Amino acid sequence: MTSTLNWKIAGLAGEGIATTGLLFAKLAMRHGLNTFAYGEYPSLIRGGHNTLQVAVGLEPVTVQQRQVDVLLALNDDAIKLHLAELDVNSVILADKTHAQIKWENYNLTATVIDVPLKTISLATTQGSIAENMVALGASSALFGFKLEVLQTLIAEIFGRKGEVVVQKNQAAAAAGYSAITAQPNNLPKLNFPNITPDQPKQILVSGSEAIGLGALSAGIQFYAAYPMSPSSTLLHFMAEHEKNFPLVVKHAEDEISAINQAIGASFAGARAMTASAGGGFALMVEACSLAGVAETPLVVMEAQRPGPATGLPTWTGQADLQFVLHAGHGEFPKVVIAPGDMQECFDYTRLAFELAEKYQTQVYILADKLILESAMNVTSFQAQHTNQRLSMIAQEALPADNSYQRFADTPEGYSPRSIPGQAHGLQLTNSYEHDEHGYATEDAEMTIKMVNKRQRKLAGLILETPPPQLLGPAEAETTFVSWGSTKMVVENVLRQFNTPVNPNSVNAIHLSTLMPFPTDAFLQLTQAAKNLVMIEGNLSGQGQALIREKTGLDIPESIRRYDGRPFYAEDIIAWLKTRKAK
Amino acid sequence: MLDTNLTQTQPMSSEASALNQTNISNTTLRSPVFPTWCPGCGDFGIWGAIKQALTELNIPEEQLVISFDIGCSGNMADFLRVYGFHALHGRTVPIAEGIKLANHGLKVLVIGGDGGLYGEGMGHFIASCRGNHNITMLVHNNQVYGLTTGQAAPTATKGAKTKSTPQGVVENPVNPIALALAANGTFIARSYAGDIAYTKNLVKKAILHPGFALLDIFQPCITFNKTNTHAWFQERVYKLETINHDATNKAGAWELSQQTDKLPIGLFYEDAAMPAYHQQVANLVEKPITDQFAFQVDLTEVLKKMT
Repeated sequence: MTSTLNWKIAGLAGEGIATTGLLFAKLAMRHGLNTFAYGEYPSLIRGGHNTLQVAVGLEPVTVQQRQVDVLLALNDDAIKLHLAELDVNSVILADKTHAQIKWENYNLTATVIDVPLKTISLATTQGSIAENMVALGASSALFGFKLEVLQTLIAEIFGRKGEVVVQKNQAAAAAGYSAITAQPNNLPKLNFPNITPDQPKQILVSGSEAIGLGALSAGIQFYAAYPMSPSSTLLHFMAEHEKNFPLVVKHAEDEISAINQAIGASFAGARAMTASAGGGFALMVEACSLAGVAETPLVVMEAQRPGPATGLPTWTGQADLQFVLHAGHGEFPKVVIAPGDMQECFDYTRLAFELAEKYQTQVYILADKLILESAMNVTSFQAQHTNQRLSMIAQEALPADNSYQRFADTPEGYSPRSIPGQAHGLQLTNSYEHDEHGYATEDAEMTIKMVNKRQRKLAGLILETPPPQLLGPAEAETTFVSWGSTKMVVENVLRQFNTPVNPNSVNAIHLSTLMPFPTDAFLQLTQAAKNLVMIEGNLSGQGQALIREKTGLDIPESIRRYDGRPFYAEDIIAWLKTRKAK
Repeated sequence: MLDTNLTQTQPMSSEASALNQTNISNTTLRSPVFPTWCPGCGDFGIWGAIKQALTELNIPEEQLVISFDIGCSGNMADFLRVYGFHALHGRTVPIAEGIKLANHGLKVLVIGGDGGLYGEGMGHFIASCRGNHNITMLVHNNQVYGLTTGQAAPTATKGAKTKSTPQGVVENPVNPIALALAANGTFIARSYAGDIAYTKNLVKKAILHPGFALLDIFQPCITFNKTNTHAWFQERVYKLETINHDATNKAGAWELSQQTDKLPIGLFYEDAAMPAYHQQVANLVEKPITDQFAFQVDLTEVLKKMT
């Protein structure tokens, strides 16, 4: 029915579920297919139930899919917990002799294909554990993928571990592949037509990686953080690439230290960033206010997961919007951008560094578990980048009589910045309200002057931050309003629901910049809308409230989700159909 | 939309500024703001000692950065003309670490009180000892919160009656010397604000130490601490030089840190051989990260792994 197929691997934490799944996604990409990989796992290291599902299609795939076409079941839970996702068209790949799978408990309509994973693994590798490779080979055959493409991928992945490891894994994969091709011809046909191997310009990238790449492209020099899901993957990415870029990565003793170190490094002239999830970011909030009054450039990634408190550590949500918008006591300008896909993760992180430095302000990248830890294929990002320093004062511009004023009142709101090491550039960066040099002041007039100066930055920022986007046809019966990672599911819905028969059913207005709010541009886009429906991942309608506050527009309908799970296109389409029937 | 209207100026590198350098002196340090400390405050003595030490060290004025904490001590930010960062209460150590990691060519000092640095900032203090970040932490230790009108500080004596503890402090006081020893601090010293010349020499030594340096300075608060007065300290302090303490003897330093009847001042412990944090970061071996800005970036190799 749909042009996508959904493959899912399910088993215990620690069984290499994520690695195997990402390999399968990469394999699909190398066959010229589009793919979206999404994982679910509990906040445990071993023993919990883990899944990784890979939607594969000829058309763009930007979201996970509920219905499973091929389930690679590694234990009993893999079947028990996913019965609702299986139907008569599904295929279960499993070891039929698996001692723990209680086949008698299930009245399955799906086709079960027996692949003796353990036996094949032992036979082909002389005793090593390579069941995942056997399964990967079997899955590849079922999808009509080419064995040699899989073999090349295995060689690349395991090459570092030596030739023997590569050969064992390749042998296991080949045996798994044969186990399917040797089956009688009545197997379900999952082959995609016209598979074109290896389209060169594609990469498989997660949101964390895209944000990290964006930061590297912008010349990030200092990254400090404290681990917390789902922000840790960015810490790992930055730490991994420290050796190849002019960058210092600091795992700080806590989040408070991380953000203060980043502020200190930025003050000294380094492009700096920090990140955390909601709870860790809560600890950083005092320093957000500091960076505001100090006019220190700073990029912060906030990784949303459901709260309150420890909440659901490994699940997703969009409930930190109002928290991030209001993070920091007192009044100061800031930028909040929520990337909607992998390309935006890259572009907007790069932009964040430029805006932070130019405007001497803080820029937040508001992401979530779904976008940070899901991976999809995109056209490879631009590799070559040129960077410039912004709003910094040149040595020759510093007067020898020491009359330089770091916080000079300017029409733009930001002032040429000196950094320690520059002669005649001495200045005091101050958490107290201060005069133009930086000395503390309690003077009323000076206070008004400095507060206004800083706030004036917003006039420039509104012109340089990403405007709202119209997705889909110019006019439609229903117009969704979304922000952040929800863009991915909305785009999928638009593709599926706007059929050639009825091409103008649904479109969407998508917000990337939440602060400064693009009031005029947003209102202009809403003028053609017949029925606005807000869609967001929180209980209280935080984006909807923001729109009401900034535009006076009260969106009448909404779809909200706050159970830790991402939106599924299937659910939104069902909602649209029900609505249409009324 | 992305790159429009971005104005550009080339910053100077920190090396270029050496051409027209001015070394720190009493004249260069003079700010337009006169100290707001109480007449007779111990902070004046520490201020004087710091100014003398900086002058004698012949540091070019643009090569020094001071991270000031919140408190009477931190208000020195307005009384010294330096590259300064008047940060948040207790958070001056991570600010200083960030500055040093960005540009380790700079001399980086932390000036704060016992409330900020041993109370809210305790975790950062310990972490900085462990990391041996090459920063100098000068602590005005007056056993009270002066700026907020005299509540108990973490260093207050057990039983001390203050506005926030009218029935007496329940906790035992923090022992910063012992804590720094336990956390592998590499320069651990104590002084007394009443002896400016002695304090000046220890400030100089602390700044010259190539790693994390703690200088805890007894500083009577004449307004809010009527117990630990100049007279009180003068009866108790004695210099470690008088007992020929060997500053490489950690066990001896530990024993001295436990003394409470008499209060030793001087250098308890120093290990100048331990490399500083930044010396152990591969990317900082050649030059500071601020001198390595990526005007050109090539992501080809990283992107290749994702194909």
